Amino acid sequence: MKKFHIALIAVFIAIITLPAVFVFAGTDKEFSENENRMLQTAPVLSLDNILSGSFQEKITDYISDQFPARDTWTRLGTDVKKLAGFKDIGGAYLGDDGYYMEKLTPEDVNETNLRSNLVMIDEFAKKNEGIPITMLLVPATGTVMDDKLPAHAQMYDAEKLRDTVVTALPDLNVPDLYTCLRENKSEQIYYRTDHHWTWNGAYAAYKLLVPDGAYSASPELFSESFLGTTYSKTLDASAKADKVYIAPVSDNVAVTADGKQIPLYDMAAKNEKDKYKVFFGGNYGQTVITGGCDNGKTLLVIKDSFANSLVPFLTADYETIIMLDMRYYMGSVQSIIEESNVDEILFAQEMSSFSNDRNLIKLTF
Amino acid sequence: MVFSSTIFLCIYLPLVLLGYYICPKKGRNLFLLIVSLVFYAWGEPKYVFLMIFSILVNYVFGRLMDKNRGNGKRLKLMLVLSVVIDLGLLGFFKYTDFIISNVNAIFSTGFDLLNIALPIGISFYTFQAMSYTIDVYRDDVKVQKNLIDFGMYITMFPQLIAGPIVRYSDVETQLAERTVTTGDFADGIMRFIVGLGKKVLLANQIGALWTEIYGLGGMSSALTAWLGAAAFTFQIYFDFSGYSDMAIGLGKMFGFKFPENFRYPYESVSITDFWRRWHITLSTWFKEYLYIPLGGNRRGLARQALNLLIVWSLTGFWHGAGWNFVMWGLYYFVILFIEKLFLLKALDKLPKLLRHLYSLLLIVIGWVIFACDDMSVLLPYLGSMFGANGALGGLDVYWLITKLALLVICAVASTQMPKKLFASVTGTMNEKAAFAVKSVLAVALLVLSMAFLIGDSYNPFLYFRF
Repeated sequence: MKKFHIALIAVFIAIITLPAVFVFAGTDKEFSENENRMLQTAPVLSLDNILSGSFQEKITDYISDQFPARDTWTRLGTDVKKLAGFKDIGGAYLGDDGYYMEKLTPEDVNETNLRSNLVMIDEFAKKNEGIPITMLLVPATGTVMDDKLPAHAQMYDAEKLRDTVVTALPDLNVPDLYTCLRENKSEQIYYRTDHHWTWNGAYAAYKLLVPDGAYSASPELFSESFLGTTYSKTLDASAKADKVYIAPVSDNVAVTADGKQIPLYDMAAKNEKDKYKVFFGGNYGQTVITGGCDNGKTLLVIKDSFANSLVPFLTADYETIIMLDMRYYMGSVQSIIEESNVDEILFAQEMSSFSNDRNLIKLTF
Repeated sequence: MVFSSTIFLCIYLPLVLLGYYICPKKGRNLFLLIVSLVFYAWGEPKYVFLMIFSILVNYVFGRLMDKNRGNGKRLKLMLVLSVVIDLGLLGFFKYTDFIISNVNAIFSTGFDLLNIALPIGISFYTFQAMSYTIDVYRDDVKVQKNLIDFGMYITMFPQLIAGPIVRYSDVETQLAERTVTTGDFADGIMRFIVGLGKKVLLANQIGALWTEIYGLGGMSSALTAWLGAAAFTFQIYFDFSGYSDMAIGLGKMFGFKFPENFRYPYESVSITDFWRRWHITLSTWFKEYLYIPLGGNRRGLARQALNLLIVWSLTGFWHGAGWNFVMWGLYYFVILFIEKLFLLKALDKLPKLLRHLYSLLLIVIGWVIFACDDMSVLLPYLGSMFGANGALGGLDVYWLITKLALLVICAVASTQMPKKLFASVTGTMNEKAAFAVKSVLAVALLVLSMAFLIGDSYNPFLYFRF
């Protein structure tokens, strides 16, 4: 009997000890592509760090961040949760046909904040009377692709949100993107493994915005192996990769991001986990795109990352496009409008991100 | 540090086990004292001094009482002083802000809150320390002259932060002398793993549903409200009893036998029964050191009612500095007193199923009172449970479908069914085979718990939704 006891004791000690041995003996990983964040590396041991508690905090994160085969452990957890009938993991619905959709319920939309944003935009519009403003609010995947949602799952009400915007801003153009996208559902308009829209989705929005737009090139395949952020939330081993198509633009297009020249399409993203980064290579405070045509028109876009794949189409219709991402842009919006003789203004953001956005106060600067 | 973390499981525990068994027997209590202080200091180093102060105060008063054994007046004074200091510290660190905010509310004053961070485990170790001084006063235990042994008793990391409340008399002899057989150690491992599984696989998972539903602010369909109430009912049981299991298991690995803290409370057939099965060490403490000294049931019905009222208000208040906890205590006072008066006898005549339903219903409603620490949520929440906002709506059917398996597992796991099932399966096997089956199950449970633990630390960060 004693042998049996000792066997259990040995297995137990091995299971709890070996991971830490591997962590301390191995080399630290600095970045988790799946989680898109920096990992905690070995902390420095010092009396100050211990007294402030920062050493304890860091070594706690260190051991869990550097845990051997971390993704495999996580996947095991996901498999068990799926087996138990869970239909959302880590904030993403496990939908039909391989759709992983951000779980955004009505409670995830801050209506008070939305109303105050709308008041700010109303003031902003009054200050800039004469410049047409369009509110392009993108419904999240689950609202449009509701037939792919798990049974009885719920998303925020995209139509109701649009109605709120239309009522608050009667003089602004608020295209019905929800209906438009639903009409295009025969195409794949959203990625299955990422919360963004595809070429098809962005193109449908473009046609709604500029019905007689000049853009005419065909899509170009960029990658066939995109596993995006909603996949990463679940780390579901049965996920199928998405294809990413980009919209070719005129050779004359030049892009400046926060004062630096960058290519519109960052081909290096091919070798990264996040293939959506191909569009401008990410988000910047201020991005200026010029030379797509020469009609002298200037468009100001106030946006989140959804706009990154929409703006390439618009280069065919606006000689200058200034994109401002209010999360990072710290300057004055008003001075840009005046100095650059902006002809039109476009707000392009996902609906819940727009509703919860706390940066629009910067419009008043 | 909490038990259900990789830092505890994969670094602290292996090192402590290694050190403990390398250490010569004489030094083991000192070793446990030191590592327990490290455990305690992990999150908030400065409170370690508070802990040391508590140890010294109770140690010194224990010695002084022993010296003044013949002098009744002095003896009593010593006891009163030590209790005042113990409760004073608990009161200051746990209840000051609560009192200030109530004073502000009643007298429209504007005193600033002190924003005192609650020293972890203070409610538990204060009660443990008091069990010692009171028992020394009563001459029920011998005075502890060894400061290291005494300090180790107060700080012992397995039960330091969430119980069970180990009375000094429970472990008095084990402090001086204890042995661990391989069988004890293996038992300890299995008990620990069961507790870890309860916490990580059940409490944390079903707790996520409660968090989501509580976030609705109390306004929801009846189905949602009941799902939330059921979720919290399971969460608190598996969380708390899981911690107790882990503590008892860890204790066994070091040769301690801690008292049991839970005995399938959701199988109760009355509320009186429930409180004999739930957080047993706390109920015992209040009975031994408050209810009986107040006179218990020996001084007439009116006095008994008053005694119960005092005990249950304080039991509620012990759980947290909030009115909902006091209400929760009073709620149980009312039910228990009614049961004592006549209901218990009436219940005895009912079929068992109805007695279970009666108990569960009251327990679940009790947990809603307990869980809604925001009082503005409590009434709407209770209203929602009884249909104030319709029967169905929102995500309720979705939750019911996707969490059904988890809810069923929780329900089964809170009864003796798994234990009986296991006993009937292994009943025909010999001892070794039964142990082997149990070991394999335990290791599988450990691996699964670790997978969930790591999965919980897995936080995809969308870089501002990019």
